[in-house]
Amino acid sequence: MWNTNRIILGIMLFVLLAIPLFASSYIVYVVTLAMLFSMLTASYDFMTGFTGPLSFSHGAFYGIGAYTSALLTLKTGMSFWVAMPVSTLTVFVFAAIVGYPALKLRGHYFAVTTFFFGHFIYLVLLNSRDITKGPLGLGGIRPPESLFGINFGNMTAMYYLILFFGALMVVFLFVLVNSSIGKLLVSIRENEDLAQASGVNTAFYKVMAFSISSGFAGMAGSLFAHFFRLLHPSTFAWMTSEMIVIMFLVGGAGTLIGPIIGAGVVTFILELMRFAPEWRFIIWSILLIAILIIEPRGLAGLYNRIRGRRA
Amino acid sequence: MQNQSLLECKGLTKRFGGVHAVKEVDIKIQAGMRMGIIGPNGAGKTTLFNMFTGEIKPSAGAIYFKGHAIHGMKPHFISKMGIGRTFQIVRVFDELSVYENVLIGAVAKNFHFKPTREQHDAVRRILSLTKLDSQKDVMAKHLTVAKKKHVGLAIALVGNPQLLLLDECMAGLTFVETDEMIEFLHKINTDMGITLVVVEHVMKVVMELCENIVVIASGEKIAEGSPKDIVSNPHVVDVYLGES
Repeated sequence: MWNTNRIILGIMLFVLLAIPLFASSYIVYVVTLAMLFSMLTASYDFMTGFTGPLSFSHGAFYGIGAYTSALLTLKTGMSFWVAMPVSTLTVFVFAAIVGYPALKLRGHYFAVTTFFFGHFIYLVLLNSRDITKGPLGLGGIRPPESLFGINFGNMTAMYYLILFFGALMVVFLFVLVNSSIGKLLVSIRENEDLAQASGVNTAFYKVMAFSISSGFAGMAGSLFAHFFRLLHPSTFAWMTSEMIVIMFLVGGAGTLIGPIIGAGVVTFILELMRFAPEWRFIIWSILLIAILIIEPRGLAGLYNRIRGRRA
Repeated sequence: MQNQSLLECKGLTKRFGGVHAVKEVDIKIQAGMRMGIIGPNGAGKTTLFNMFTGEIKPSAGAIYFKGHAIHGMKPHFISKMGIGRTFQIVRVFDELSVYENVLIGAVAKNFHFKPTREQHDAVRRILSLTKLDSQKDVMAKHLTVAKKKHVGLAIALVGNPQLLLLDECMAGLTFVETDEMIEFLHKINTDMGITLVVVEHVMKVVMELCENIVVIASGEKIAEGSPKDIVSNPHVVDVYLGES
């Protein structure tokens, strides 16, 4: 599995590197958004797919990262290259502070807590008009400062920048899940009481997974802010968290590569259905139900079934 | 003989609201011993167990392991100190292979970023000890109850516990499987020097396996002694068969 994953990731990286060379700017724009969503679903998978607790606040951490990075550059004149790691770290620490008490709850209780936390963050972003400009949206965000003579005001340059950080994140997560840390996280998912009785500090590992996962959502948020250059609270509302969960399910939980592909597939299906805006989400919902009935393990499960590895 | 016992509890008490689940229990367990804890349903055996492993905090009293106070400590910490356990309702890591199940037991005790060669060796050794080597690649959820119990034991054993707490490890086993399990427990006690504490309903098991038995009823210790003493103790007979 590990080797097939490497090959698939290699091909994906190659295709993604080549896309801007021949595709229209519209395609490049859509793929950029798909890559941002892939970052969100891959990091989400680290928490929910590998460690277990179902969370509905990933979109909120994405938003915190985006607003933190945008506000740091706007209000303090900080460079993007400093603001991005700072906002990633801020979200990491913030998630640890929120996660420590919240992760004492198990199962549905944690899920419901994250749902309300996500909504709370949305309301804060919407109503802190003095800081975030609320429903008017936060504009005037600058693209990343030029580096090595590359001007990031250019969309293709931004595309490669997001691809670079996305690839970095995926490699980092792959190394983690294939290490002993990954095994301990999976043990929490499979049986938390047994894991604890076997000597796993479950509270620590759950908070760690939550923080790393959220930190990467914050990083994706920072990249989004300086790519899109306009932030609106609704971008980080419930719909986004829900979309992340859907992409993750379509791709296949706990496989890392599944959710990455799932994000791409879902983004493209939704784009292809733009010709019928009223029907878009109705068709999509039916499709989603069908996918989950046919193969609850998502695309990764479908692939394994074709290969005859798992019934 | 060393005077200090391996596990000792003094005045151990657990109240759930106004109900005493366990009331002022004193137990001493010497290293190398095979101790049985018996009692009618709802006597507080599992509560007592869960206090030993840290899952439940005692309301009062103290627990000492190798002379260190462990009451109030987190389960993962107690586990690392050398107390292994199995669960009344069998627990395994369902979606993982038997090998990975046991490897987690090893990694959880002694963390290395990548499992070491020694850890893989230890896993293989335990798998052959628990007769699971032919099924090491099977997903744990597909195993029979008896085999799952062996996986549970293997996860605990790979961490080299000094004390193993077995909560109703015979429940749901056939006669033949029960006999095999008793033989296996004898073996790990004598060969590996692991101290055993079993909570058990099946009297046959306790009689054949244990050297010393503690009887608990309504949360209180009512008798302690060798299997022979226990069966002839009129108070124990009263509790089990009703007052005469």
